[in-house]
This record gives sequence, C-alpha cells and structure tokens, in this order.
Amino acid sequence: MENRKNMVTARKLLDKDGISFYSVHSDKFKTVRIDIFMIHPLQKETVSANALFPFVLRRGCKSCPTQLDLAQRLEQLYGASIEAGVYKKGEIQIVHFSTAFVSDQYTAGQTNLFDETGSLLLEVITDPVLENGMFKKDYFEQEKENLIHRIRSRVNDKMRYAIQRCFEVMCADEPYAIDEEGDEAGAAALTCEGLMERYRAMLSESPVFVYISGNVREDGIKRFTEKFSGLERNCKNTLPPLQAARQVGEVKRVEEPMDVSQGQLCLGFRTQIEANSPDYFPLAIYNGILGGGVHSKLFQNVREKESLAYTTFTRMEKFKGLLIAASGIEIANREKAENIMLEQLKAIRGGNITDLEMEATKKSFETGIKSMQDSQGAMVDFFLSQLLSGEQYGAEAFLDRLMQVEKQDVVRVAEKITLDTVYFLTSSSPQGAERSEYE
Amino acid sequence: MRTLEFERIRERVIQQDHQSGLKVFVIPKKGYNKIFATFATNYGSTDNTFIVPGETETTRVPDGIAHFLEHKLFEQEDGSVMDKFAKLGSEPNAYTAFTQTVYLFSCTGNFEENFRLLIYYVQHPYLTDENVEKEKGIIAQEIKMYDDNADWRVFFNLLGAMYEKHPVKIDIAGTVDSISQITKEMLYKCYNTFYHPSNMILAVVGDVDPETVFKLADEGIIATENPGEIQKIFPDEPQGHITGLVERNMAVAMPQFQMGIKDNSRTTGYNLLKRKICLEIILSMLMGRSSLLYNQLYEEGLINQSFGSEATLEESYGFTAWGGQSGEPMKTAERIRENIRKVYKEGLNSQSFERIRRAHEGRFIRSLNSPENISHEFISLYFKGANFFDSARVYGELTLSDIEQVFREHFSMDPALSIVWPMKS
Repeated sequence: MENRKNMVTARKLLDKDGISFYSVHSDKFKTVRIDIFMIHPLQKETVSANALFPFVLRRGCKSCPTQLDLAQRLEQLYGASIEAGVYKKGEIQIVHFSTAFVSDQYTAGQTNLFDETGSLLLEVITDPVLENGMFKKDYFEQEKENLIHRIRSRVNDKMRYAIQRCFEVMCADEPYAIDEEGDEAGAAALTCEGLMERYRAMLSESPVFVYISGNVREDGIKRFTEKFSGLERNCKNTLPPLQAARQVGEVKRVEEPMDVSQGQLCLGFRTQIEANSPDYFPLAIYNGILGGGVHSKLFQNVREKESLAYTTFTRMEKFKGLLIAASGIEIANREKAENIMLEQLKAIRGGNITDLEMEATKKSFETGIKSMQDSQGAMVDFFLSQLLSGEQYGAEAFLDRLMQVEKQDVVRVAEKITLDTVYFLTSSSPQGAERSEYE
Repeated sequence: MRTLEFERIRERVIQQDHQSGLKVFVIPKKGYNKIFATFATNYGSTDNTFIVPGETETTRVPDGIAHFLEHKLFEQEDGSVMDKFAKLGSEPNAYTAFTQTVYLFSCTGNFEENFRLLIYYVQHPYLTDENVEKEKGIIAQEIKMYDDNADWRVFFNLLGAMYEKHPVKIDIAGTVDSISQITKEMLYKCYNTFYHPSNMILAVVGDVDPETVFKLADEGIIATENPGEIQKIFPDEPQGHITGLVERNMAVAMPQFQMGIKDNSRTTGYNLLKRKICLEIILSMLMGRSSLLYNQLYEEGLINQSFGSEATLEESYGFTAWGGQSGEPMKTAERIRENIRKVYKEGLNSQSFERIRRAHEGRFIRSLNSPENISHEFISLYFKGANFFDSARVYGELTLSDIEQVFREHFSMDPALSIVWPMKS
C-alpha cells in the first residue's frame, strides 16, 4: 500500500441536544463550507412537508425577507452560496442546508465571511419570514407549485427515471419506494399550517449533524456552535434502523412505453446485506467487478465486446442492500442485453473473477477514497454516510477493510444476490428510434 | 522552463516548451492527493473543413469524426488502454468539445507510469476496419442517449436557430447516419493532421514535481518534423440569426426553453477572456438571481430554479444563452425580450455592477478548489491564446464602461428562442 498522505478526518467537536458538530479541517481549500443535515425516517405522512419547507426557507429570512434581498446579500459576501435541498439514503430522508464561500485570506483581509455567512445560513433555517405565525402564503404556494413540477420532471432524465421506477416496483410495499421528494398527491395535499407544524417538529426534534470544512479558526467555530444554543430542542428521534433483509419471490417484470429513441434496461437485485455488516466490504468489491468502471464485466461485455450500449453500470444502494444494473440500449436488443447482463452475475457466482478485475476494483476504491480528500462535499458525505450506517470507520480503516477482501468472499456474497425486478423503459412507437428533428 | 505567478489567488503555472512544439504545463496544487493529467489537441467537432499542411485541396470530413477518433484512441494493438489504466488504479477518460479533444486520467499513485501511458497511447493510434465498425454501435447509443436528453436538444436547437452555416450547430457526436460513413482512412487523415505535438498541450494539475513531468514528456514525445500550419476553414456566417424560433416535442413533463444571441466580435487572447467575463457579468446584471427580472418571473411562476445563463466565446464563434423550464415559455421569452429592450434604452443598473463583479470574482476563486475545473478551463482558454488565471486580473481591472460597451454591442440583436414542448397526449 502506498503512503496515505493527507487523509483528513472529521473531528467531533460537540454533541448537544441532539445536534452534533464536526470539523473537517484542511488549509488546502480556497472555500469554506458549512453543511447542516436534519434526519428523519422516510415516511409517506411526512415526506412531502420535509421536501417543501427547505425551499420555503430558502426564499428569505428576517434580515433578507425576499429572494432578491438574499441574492444581493450573498453577492456582497463574495458570491457565497446558500443551498437547500432534500435527498434520501436508504429509508432515511435528509434535509440539507449548506453554504460555501471564499476563505478569508482571499478577500484582501476585509471580511469575516465565516461569521457573516454562518449567521446568515442559521437565520435562513431558524428565522423565516412569517405572516400571522405562518410561512408567507405566496412563498408557500409558489414553492409547492415548484415541488410539483420537480416531481413531474423526474421523467426528463430517462436513465435516472428508469432506475427510480425499478426501485419503486421492487420495493412497492416498503418505505424505500417513496421518492425523496414524495409524490404529486402528497405535495398537492400540503397546507401552510401543516408545513409550519412539520418544520417546527424538525427543528426541535430531528437529529442534526453540522459539518464545518476548510480553513476555519477555532474561535470562529466556537462562536458558530454557540449560536445553536438559542434553539428550543426536544430531540427524541433516534436514527432509523437499516433494513435490507427481504424474501424474493417470482421476478417482477415491468415495461413502460414512452416517446424515446433509446431503451433503458434496469435489473434490480436484493443483496440482503446491510451497510454495517462485515459482508458489506465484499459486496462493494462485487459491485465494482460487476459494473463499477471500465474494467468491470458489464463495461467489458455489454459495451466493449457486444457494442450494445454506451452506458452500462451497476449502482449500490448501501442503506437498503439493493443493487441495480442498468444499460441504455437499442429497443430491439432488450433480450440479448438482459441475458448478457445476467451472465455476468452468473460468472461471478461461479468464481470466474480475474486477477485484473479484483485488482482494478480495489485500486479504484483506493483512488476514489484518496481523491475524496480533495473535495469538501465528498468528504462530508462520506462521514455522514458512515454515521448513518452505524459505522465508525474513518476513510483509512474503511479502505483497509476493502483491501482485505478476497475472491472467495466475493463469491460468497454473490450467492446472496437475487434478481427481484426487471424494468424496461421502451419506445411507444413501433419503429422506436426514427423521429424527425424539427417538428 | 518558466513560471508565472498569480499571487493574489496563490496559483502558479510552470511551463516548458518541447522541441516538437508541444507545450507542457504544471499547475501545482499543494496538499492534494489527486493528480489530474491531460493531453489535449486543438481540434474539436467544429474543425470539419480544413486544408492538410502540404496539400492544396480542402478536406471535408463527416460530422462526428473528432469524437469518433477520441473513442478509437483508447484501442491499442494489445487491447484497450483503459485496462492498463484500470490496473494502475487510475481513472482514464476523454472528451470532445467544439474546439478541442482532451485525453486525461486522474490518479492518487503511480503517477509516472500513468503519465507515460497517457503520452504513449495518444501518440499511437491503432485503427482497423473491424474495430472502427465495432465502435459504430456504441457511439450510436451515445447519440441516442443525447437524442432523448431535452436539455441537450433544446440547446442544439437554439444553436440551429442562431447559426446558418457554422459547424457549432452540428451535434458533437454527429448523427447515426454521418458516423456510418466514417472509415479508418478518414480517421487516420484527421489524426495525422491534428495530433502533431505542435498542435497539442500536456497539462498536469496536482501535487507533483514539475521536473518529473517535463522529463517524462521529453522522453515520451515523438518529435517528428513540424508539418506546418493547418488551415481550418469556417464558412462566412451571417451576422444575424437564421430564425427567431425553433420548437419540437419530447417526452418531458414541462416545457423547456433556451434563448440566445450570437456574439459577432472576433477576438482572441486576453481580450477574449475579458469579453467573456463581461458577458457573464452582464447576464447576471440582467437576469441573475439578484436581478429584478429574475425575481419577478420567479414570483409569477414563469421560471424556477432551473433558470440559468452562460456565455461562450471562441475564436470563430460566440454566443450567450439562457433558459430553463417554464410553464409558459412564449410569455416568459417575451418578458425577457421586453426587459432587454428596456435596459438597452435606459442603460444597465450601475449600482449592481460592483456587487456582481465581486460575486463573480469570489466564485472564480472558489472554482480553484477543483483540479478538474482548473484543467478544463485552462486548456480551453490556452487554445484561444488566453490564460485562465488571468481571470483574476480581469476582475481586478474591469470597469463599468467596459461592461456597457460590450452590452451595447452584444445585445443590439433580438435573441433567438428554442422550445421543447411536452408530447401532445
């Protein structure tokens, strides 16, 4: 193993009222970031409100009551950004706020951007524009409309949509089927009152993780963490448990026609392996061998050997023990592609793994984890993932565990992987591809 | 070897000129684990008509050939070079843009071996009738992937509305039909014309010893005779747009639109960089997040967060473009047009200039966190005779009157509009 220079860690600073603060210190970046995550179980009843309130908050706060005010303020702060959003890891919904701004040494010493931007972010989260104790009606209505449009627009990215539909079919009666932003009916049913209630509940009860990354002085961090003490906290939620075990019955098959020129074929598998299981590491290697890069079996066979696809890969949902294999193909090649994809799984199960596949997969993890150290966002995401999966491994220990995986471990976990669902996004016209450019 | 220091932003560029004419650059990033190395040629999808050095006849090649060649260079006599990179644990990639083709890898170890491999394979094409034929299936799927991508289509339809003749209007990957005409011989002809070291650069971004980079380049670059200047031929493009509106239907949930204006200034070097930054600042002043227009349209539900703008400036073409999703793209476009006309009459809001200039400068500095971004911007600007890090100087010296002048020139033309509507059900 080569020397592991510059492995940055997340240092826990403080844990108070269910708010945990971490510092990811490094002086190589020109940017400072603050990331704040609020955690909630993914549930039908709460998903839509949790998906909406961050966007209503982003519209303005007490000192910058409109989006225009906020945008001008951020420009004055040397083009700082404040982002709000929502996503999911397994059956956990995560509300995410972040700010990024130039490190003070590049603003000609005129500013204390950390204090100013940090305070502004906190104000956006905790001090919204109110009308009679409620969110401003206009902001609520407009952002609700925007949410509905985002939900409808999932169809725009065909590969992403196909993967999402495959998981939906696969997990039809499990929380994981719920999209991170919920569905249209859930968004349409939201009320201003209900949203305020949900927002208050999240602010008071949800576990919160705060990461400060970049070159920041200790006294600044201290001032920032102290600002949270004004919050009324009653944190009673704990992290939802991971749940990967699931009996698989007959393979579910769904075809969905759409006006497209390329078909998207997705094979959804259950691995039965949870993110905190020792088998997670061989599973990660398995995933790399099957579809994690140019050396993988899918790339080599579906693309290079058979010329069936440009895009072909696998992806793991580590918090739910799912694995998906996807290829963008000619409509007519559907069966052939499915067979070739499945043959690759069979090959691994039969122990047909070359030294190159094994070595390249491990090296690719090594490169990935070391490269992660060069991106504040990627590091913070890694540390949060580790926390949510109940793992305490730092990047270095995580990598060590991966390096120890042997072929027989991969073959062992391969036995557990079963096909659950085949989803195909296909063309609605008989010719499939042929369409005129200008209509 | 010479070093350019950019003190204000604490960046450095170390350059060495190879006897073949190749330029080698190292951009140190202290403390970074990842080394990002690129081998790039000043040759992209728009270079489809040219005179080969030493010939008199004009050569016109099928659309998509530069991109096709990029795919094929990975193939070597003893197999795909990707396997060799994979074995070293590095991530190889390549991309073809309108005006350049870039081969790259990123690694966190074995830099020397990786770098040797990069230098070697780009100089050793291995094309056979069979492997050229095989690639057509893969690229056809890549083309179809873009056919189903509404963001891509709405953008290329805008280029189609703006440009009558310039090859920037042609899809980078070509069409399934155009790539079917590509042969081994044509690929070699393009290769031999555009892949001489004198038309290329090597650039390495990361925590790396510059001497090592220069030594490896020296050892690996084959210094054949410089064939002379390649004459790239671009058609005479009219000043105006060819049509005001292009529409089509696709499987999307909500209409998408892009508007744009051609830039008719033909410039290069520092002036090009400066003009590009001016255009970006003007777009922010007119319709950025802090503008009245953006906020009015947003509050009326005519645009959403997907709305954005960009300025592209090359030596042979240039344009501004803006758009996103809109429930009512026609109405939204008209409002934007009205606003531009109004500002054109009354002048830009001078109060916003300093604030927006500072914000753009801050975002530029933040972008220096990413070796990928540095590499991409550096290469792209280098081939236009500019240095990406001179952006800091531009931000420092820009004045409102620079901005006003570019605004007067550029926005005198009525923007073109491209819309992708959802399918009629």
